[in-house]
Amino acid sequence: MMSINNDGMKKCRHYLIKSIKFNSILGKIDLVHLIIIILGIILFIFVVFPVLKVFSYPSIEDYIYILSKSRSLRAIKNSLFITLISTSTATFIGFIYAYTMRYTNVPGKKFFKFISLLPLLSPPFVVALAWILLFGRRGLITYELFKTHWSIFGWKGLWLVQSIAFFPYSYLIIDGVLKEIDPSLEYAAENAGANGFYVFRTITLPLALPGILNAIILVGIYVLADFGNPIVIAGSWPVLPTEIFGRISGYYDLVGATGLAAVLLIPTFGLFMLNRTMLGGKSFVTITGKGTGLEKPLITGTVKWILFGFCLFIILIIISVYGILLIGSFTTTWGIDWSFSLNHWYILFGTKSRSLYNSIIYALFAGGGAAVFSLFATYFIYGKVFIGKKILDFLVILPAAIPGIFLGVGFLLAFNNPPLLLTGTSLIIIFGLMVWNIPLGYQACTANFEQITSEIEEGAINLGANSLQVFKDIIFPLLKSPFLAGFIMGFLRSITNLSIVIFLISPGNNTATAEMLSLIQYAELGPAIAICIALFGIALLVIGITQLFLGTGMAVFTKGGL
Amino acid sequence: MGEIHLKLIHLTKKYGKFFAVKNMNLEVEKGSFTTILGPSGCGKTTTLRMIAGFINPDDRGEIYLGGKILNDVPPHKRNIGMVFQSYALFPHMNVFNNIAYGLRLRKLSIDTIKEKVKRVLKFVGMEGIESKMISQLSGGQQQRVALGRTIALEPEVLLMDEPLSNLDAKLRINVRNEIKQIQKNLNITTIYVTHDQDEALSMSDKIVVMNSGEIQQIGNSWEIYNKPKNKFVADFIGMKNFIDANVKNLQQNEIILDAKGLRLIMQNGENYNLSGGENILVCLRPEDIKITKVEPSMGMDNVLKGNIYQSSYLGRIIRYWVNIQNRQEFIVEDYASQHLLKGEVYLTFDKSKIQFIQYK
Repeated sequence: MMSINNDGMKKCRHYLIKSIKFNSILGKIDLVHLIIIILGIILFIFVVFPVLKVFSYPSIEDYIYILSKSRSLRAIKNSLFITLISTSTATFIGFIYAYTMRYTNVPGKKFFKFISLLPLLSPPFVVALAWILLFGRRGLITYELFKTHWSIFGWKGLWLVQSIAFFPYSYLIIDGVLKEIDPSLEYAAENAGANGFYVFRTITLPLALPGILNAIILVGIYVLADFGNPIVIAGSWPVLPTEIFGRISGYYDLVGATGLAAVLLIPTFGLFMLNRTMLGGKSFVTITGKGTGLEKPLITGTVKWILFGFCLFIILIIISVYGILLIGSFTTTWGIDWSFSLNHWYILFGTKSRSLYNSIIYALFAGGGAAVFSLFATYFIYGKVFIGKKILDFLVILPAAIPGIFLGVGFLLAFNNPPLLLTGTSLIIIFGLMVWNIPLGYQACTANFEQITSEIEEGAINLGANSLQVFKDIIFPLLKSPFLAGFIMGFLRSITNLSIVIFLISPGNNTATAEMLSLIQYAELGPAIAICIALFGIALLVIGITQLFLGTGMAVFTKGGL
Repeated sequence: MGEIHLKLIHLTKKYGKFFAVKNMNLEVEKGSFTTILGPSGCGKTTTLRMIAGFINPDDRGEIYLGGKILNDVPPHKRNIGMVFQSYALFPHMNVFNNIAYGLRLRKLSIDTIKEKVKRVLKFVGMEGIESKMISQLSGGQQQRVALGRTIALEPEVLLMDEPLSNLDAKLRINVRNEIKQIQKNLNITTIYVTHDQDEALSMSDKIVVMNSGEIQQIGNSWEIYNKPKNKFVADFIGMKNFIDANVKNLQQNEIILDAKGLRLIMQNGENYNLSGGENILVCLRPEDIKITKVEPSMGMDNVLKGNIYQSSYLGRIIRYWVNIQNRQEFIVEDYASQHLLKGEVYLTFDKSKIQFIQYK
């Protein structure tokens, strides 16, 4: 509200702007440009600088040497191989899941949807951990039931685990596309004489194709960058992220680690660019426009129940994952002593409580910071016209292409020396997580910002508001919901992150996920599982609160723009 | 009366407690143009979708086509063509493939398909656009391609779901005439759904007025326009004046009515079947009332004196809201006037212009 007795404030602002103008280096920079410059500096320090640091660390000879070693080549080959197969299965499961949820009226849909999103809330290696309890050397099924010493460590285990861990992403993306397909197209095909599978093959599938490709690309990036699952379950089968981690933690081989990190960035960046150019192109779905509000033609009969069975199988796996972990957290020693015990929880709330507390605090700051930055970037970078806008816009979104492990190594190298000496502080963890989460918040905000017509903004300016007032009075209130979605997503992703924090922790600044990893490495599964359950509980609590106060709940995942 | 082609018996569709369509009975003659007219949510689209087979009617409802029951025939085998409100053109195919889609399913040779597509496009006045993508077409062009795609399959019945609602007003009238012409040329049984009374009146052999899932009236354009059966139909086709009245005196040629103290004279008709003392609802179209400043000469049937309390200049016509002795409001539409009238006026209307609805 603009009131008449605002004169004093107006003067103040006037002087403020004046003084800023005087003090600025170029002499005639206004507030808007000043903010843009500040945002640019932040992006340069926390995105460009670490990336350059990693790339420039090894010399050309080092690169040649690294790439000539068979161990490196094996990690590269394994990474590409697992990405290919895990992405395929995760996308396939996601598609079947999305199709079943949209095109059938199977019972318990809400429950199905809820369960399928649980893996998104979990620390990265939850599925792997449960898998070890079931199929590991002392696993419930492999050892207790079949008395074998076979275990799932290796690429097959990793494949299964990643398929389950990452299918929710493809489900959400493909579901978004299926939702947009005008059902009257499918009715028209039926009306022309096509039935069941023919309609699917000629209409539904081709129209869903952009979404499927999008899902493949995004899941591909996630699988390539996945560190938590392979470190727990792949055993001696190296992929790039675990190899990079091993070089640093095992051999202090920074040259080798940065060299491989640079190699890892190439395919993820390539996929990222592919996605950006593809989304820039037209998608079929939007052409027909006007939604008719019709219901989808429903699949019935045998096919419906086959689809139902498939989805049921998937959610039973997910439920068993969490069930087994819950049981595991109350079992004295898994595979040896099956008696009930609260010991793991005592450990969690005793010696490990500090890490859990740290994780929550870091996630709050990182999520909040990312959301605030996204909001500013939306209005002052996305919403303004200036020289170099495209570059800044690109830099905001770039962290989405950077694997966590790369970012971790980058921060490790970049902030090790004065004046930017952050190593050993909690700030470096917070900044690392914040940067990693900015693209999601930014995408959520800009998608909503697009829908605010420029006339609203012009209206405010016409009534006498300046840029900052427009931002405060118009833009922020209208972007509140993507802002909150960005904050919550950032919080959830931060609290469950391992790949970045693993390089940035220091004594006293440990996180719960890093603690979990070291416990698993020392074969102390019990307390690790307790931490895992605790983190998951916190995530559920956050979603519950979101649901309670905003009524969106799980919808933050779709709003977050993935 | 031609032979009955399509027949709906006890057609009902319930969603929870809400009746989308309630006990609908309808006979459609071969080659006729039937319009289902009603406001949105009246059940007209649901009816169409049940005929096409996208929705199953509730238990007792039956649909017959040419004497054969259709209920258990799946939609892709019904050979009932439908033109969708959104056109439902496949955005990932070009015009040719859109039209050829159903032809291919009928296992025709590629030469026959090419020939048919060409002929259909010529028929709808869109020759030579086979290779264009749907997104390159304007709304009107998409409309014609959608119609072409449907008639290419030579369906037994043509269903059209508000096919003009996405076009702008000018184009709508042109396309309306084209559709009617095409329907005539093909002599194809057509059911057309719309909420636009002008469309319904100008195109149809038969109009079915629906509201809240129920048929209100079935009749030809003249009957619907001039003899609405109830207040809903009267209102929907533009009767704006409704007056509660009591039958005072029945005579050979005239009926004297008392409308809250106003004396009205209505022409007596052959099958009016009114009795003295009966309460009826009198309807009058705004354009059937004359409005003048000067007192009309004696001998007019109905003359009322009143005051204009609101007016609205609409270009072609002027609409007046007139208050009669604080008892009754009339809406009047005047074409003749060169300038806006104000204040005290006289309303006159012929006794033959009065319509009525019986309550019993």
